[in-house]
This record gives sequence, structure tokens and C-alpha cells, in this order.
Amino acid sequence: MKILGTLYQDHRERLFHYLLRMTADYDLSRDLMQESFTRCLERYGDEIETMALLYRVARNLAVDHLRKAARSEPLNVVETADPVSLDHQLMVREQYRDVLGALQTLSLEDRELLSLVAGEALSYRDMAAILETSENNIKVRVHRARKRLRGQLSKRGES
Amino acid sequence: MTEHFISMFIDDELDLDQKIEFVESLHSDAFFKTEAVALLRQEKRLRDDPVQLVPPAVVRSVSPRRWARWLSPLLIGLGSAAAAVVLFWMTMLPNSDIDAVQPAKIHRFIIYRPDISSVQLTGSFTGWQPTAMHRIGDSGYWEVEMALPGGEHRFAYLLEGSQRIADPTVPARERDDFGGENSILRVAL
Repeated sequence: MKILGTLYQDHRERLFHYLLRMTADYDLSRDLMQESFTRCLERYGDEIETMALLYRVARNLAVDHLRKAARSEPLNVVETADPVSLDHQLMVREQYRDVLGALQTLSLEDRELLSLVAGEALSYRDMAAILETSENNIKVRVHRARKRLRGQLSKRGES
Repeated sequence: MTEHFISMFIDDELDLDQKIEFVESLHSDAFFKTEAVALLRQEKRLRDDPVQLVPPAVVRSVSPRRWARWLSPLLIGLGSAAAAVVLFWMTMLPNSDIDAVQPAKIHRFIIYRPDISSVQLTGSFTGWQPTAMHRIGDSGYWEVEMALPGGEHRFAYLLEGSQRIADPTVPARERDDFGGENSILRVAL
């Protein structure tokens, strides 16, 4: 049993980066992160069984959003007229936009696998629980997804 | 040789037998080695933090009393126009007596230290728990935003996880019980 507040402290940044890799959208990732914590609180109270539940909630929110979007999400990580977000322009690492761009060309399934594993917080077993599949399936799919990302980065002349 | 051992190696999922097989393959199969190194480099790049400032989570509250047990309501209240009360989570306040939502103001802490690799903020508003500050590009500045309730707060910066200094730009200071100095910040709402 984990205290949700502890999960917040330990996983806020990882969860945000996971969502950003999934969506390539800074503001959307922030909103999804907030909604994830809110829903966990509403659903599980201030104690949550595992951090995998938090990621499952976040993943479902992100997938729902992405599937509802009829077109691909723009890379609006730094594109905004809001002066408050000028700070974000300083924060976003320019070179990472290439990686985000390559990720967005992958299937949603590949993207979520690579986004989950990149956070370094989840084991294959955790990921299998989040994605409701087997651990063996995760082993094979993660590797295939990595190879496909490599192919995309090669096409862009980035690897 | 199962090629997905490369990914299992990257993700620390190999058992000892698989590690033996993996290392043997690296030595005997040039293609395997090339593939492993390329995917490791790719993963290093992928795991790099996309942004340097992760936004705080502003979470809708449905029950302030329930939240009060484990959340620090440091950012609260977006004014009368806001229909929903929001809470900003900073840290746990176990057994807190806080029953009501407190108003708060966002404060940016910023320090110029281009010569070091990590800066943390520690203060009365975090229960003196260190909070990581974020480097602003290559500018040499580090920053973090905190939602602070009104009143007087004490804080200091932790350089490289150990050296504790007061904010050089804040004149109001006081000595702590350990011979160091804390900066004093007054927040008016």
C-alpha cells in the first residue's frame, strides 16, 4: 500500500515525462497528469495499492484522448502565445523535440511501451499489469518497438 | 540467441543465465554487439528529460478534509471566478490539523550557480525536505516554483546535496540551530 502523496512526490516528474512522450504536448500532459492524480484520489482515496494503478489511470486517460483526436496532435511543446508559457520555452530541450517527433510516428501501442519503460520506474511485470497483457508479451514488444523507433530516427538522420 | 535480450538488458530484466548468454553473444556476434550499443544509445537519448521544468499538479479537490491528511495545500484558491477549489500538492503533512483550504501564492526561487551540478531548495514550507531545482538551459540559473501560503517562511539552498547556503539575493536572514543561515521570505496574499 502506498500513500498517494508519496507517489506524487516520487512520480510526478516521471508521470509527466511519460505523458509528454505519449502526447508530445506540454499542456495536455500537465492536464492529464493532474487528472490522473485527481482520479486516483477519487477512486482509491489517499492510499493506493501500487504505483502501477497510477500509471494505468494516466495511460487510459492519454489513450482515450489520443483516440478521440481525429488528427495527430501537434508538437505544441513550445508553441503558445501565453506569456506564462514563455518560461516553458526555456525549459523544453530543443533536441528532444526530434525524439518526440519520431515517437509520434510510431503506433500508439509502441509509443506507450517506450514511454512507460523510459521512465525507469516500472518493471516488465508492472507494465504487463498496466497494459493487461503478459510479461513475455512485454519482453518481445518492447524490443520490437525500440527497433521501430530506431528505424524512424534513422530516417530522420538522427541516429 | 534471442535478440530481445538486448532490451531486457537495457531494462534490467535479465536473470543470471540470460546475462551469461547476453555477454557471450556480445563477444561472439558483431551484429548483436552493434545492435546492442545502438539501442543503448537510443534509450539514453529517449530517457533524457524532455523538459527542464515539470509543471506542478493542480488537482481538483472533492473533499478538503480528506486531502488535508496527506497533502500540503500550498496553492489553493484561484479567486472567486474559479468554480472549483484546487489544491497544489507539495508534500505530505501527516496528522495535519489543516481542515480548510488555505490561499497561497506562487513564488519563484531562482539562484545563479553555473558551476555546480545540482541545487535543491529546502524550507519550512516543504517540511525542510529538499526539493530539486531545475537548470534553466545553459544560463547558469536554477529555479523552482512553489506555492506558498501567506506569512513568513524560512528557506535555504542545498548545493550538490550537501553545502547549504542562504539566498544571496535575499537580505533577511537568521541563523539556524546548526550554525547555518536561512533566508526569510514574507509572502503577502
